[in-house]
Amino acid sequence: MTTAEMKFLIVDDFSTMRRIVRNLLKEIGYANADEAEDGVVAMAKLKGGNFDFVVSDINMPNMNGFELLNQIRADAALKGLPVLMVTAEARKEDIVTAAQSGANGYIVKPFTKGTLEEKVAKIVQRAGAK
Amino acid sequence: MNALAKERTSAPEFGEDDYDVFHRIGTLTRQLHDALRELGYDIHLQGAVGTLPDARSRLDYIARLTGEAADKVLNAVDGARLEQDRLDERLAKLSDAWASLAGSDGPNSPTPSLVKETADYFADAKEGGRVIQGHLTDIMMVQDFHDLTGQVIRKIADLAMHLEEQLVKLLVASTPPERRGQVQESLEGPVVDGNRAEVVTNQAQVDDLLAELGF
Repeated sequence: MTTAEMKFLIVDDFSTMRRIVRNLLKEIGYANADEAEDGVVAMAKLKGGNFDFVVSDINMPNMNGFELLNQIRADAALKGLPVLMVTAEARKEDIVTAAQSGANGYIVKPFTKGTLEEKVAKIVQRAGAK
Repeated sequence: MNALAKERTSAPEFGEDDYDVFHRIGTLTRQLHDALRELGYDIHLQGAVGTLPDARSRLDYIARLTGEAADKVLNAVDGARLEQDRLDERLAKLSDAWASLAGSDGPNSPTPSLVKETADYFADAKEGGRVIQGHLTDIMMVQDFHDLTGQVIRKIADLAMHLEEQLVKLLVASTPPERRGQVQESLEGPVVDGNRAEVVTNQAQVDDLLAELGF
């Protein structure tokens, strides 16, 4: 599979942000993406759908991004999935928590296309090198 | 609260009187309770409680409208991008075809100056297309304000709800038992714009209303 065929799951409770991330991913060469509005919906989709990459918000109802990250890392089939956090939570403790919980990257909103491109490329490169 | 102020000034400093700490706390609690009871009759407190659901309703309105505006912009950006992609694709094909004519010398061949001028235009259009795509990305990116402001609005709405709950408890607790039912009745339910019969929420409802009136 080429990197362009990678399947992304975009998790954010705001539909506007999901659209923005989806369009940006398409612009930078990843056109295969699905969306989820919270961690609960995301887990259900991840368990059934051969995803290669998760881009997740943190502050969401039902199940937030940290809980989602923990569940992904605790799931035998999903634990190796790259997870990039894209969030307005700019507190250092949140960034540290994300890193300690196994996030592969962390982007603070508002962000640029260049930032997303750089972080995704770095994570894809590392995943490919393993 | 005047009673409390009076207590502070008239009572001797702690340690200089015969009251023990617990007795003083008991006295203060009684006075606080009395003061709150007075507040139960305070129309301003009731008014403040009454306006909080309306404040939340207005915040919801802002969140909804900004969300709809952001969606409309994103729809327009998607439409413009599709059109620009289509033009870029045609431009690339035509540019290649025109380039193959350069240097041909048949009777119907374009003059070298026309070939160059056209090629220059193609290059210009290609660069213009790139600039437009960049602007479209910028327009799309700034729609993230909906997410960022929406999160702040949600927090303030939650705060207003919490404040309202606390104020209602305070109001009920400080109202004499015989008047509590009356207070609770007057505080029931948040004001939600969509549920109000006296307002319309879209143009179709305006048109229906006008039609009903014979316009």
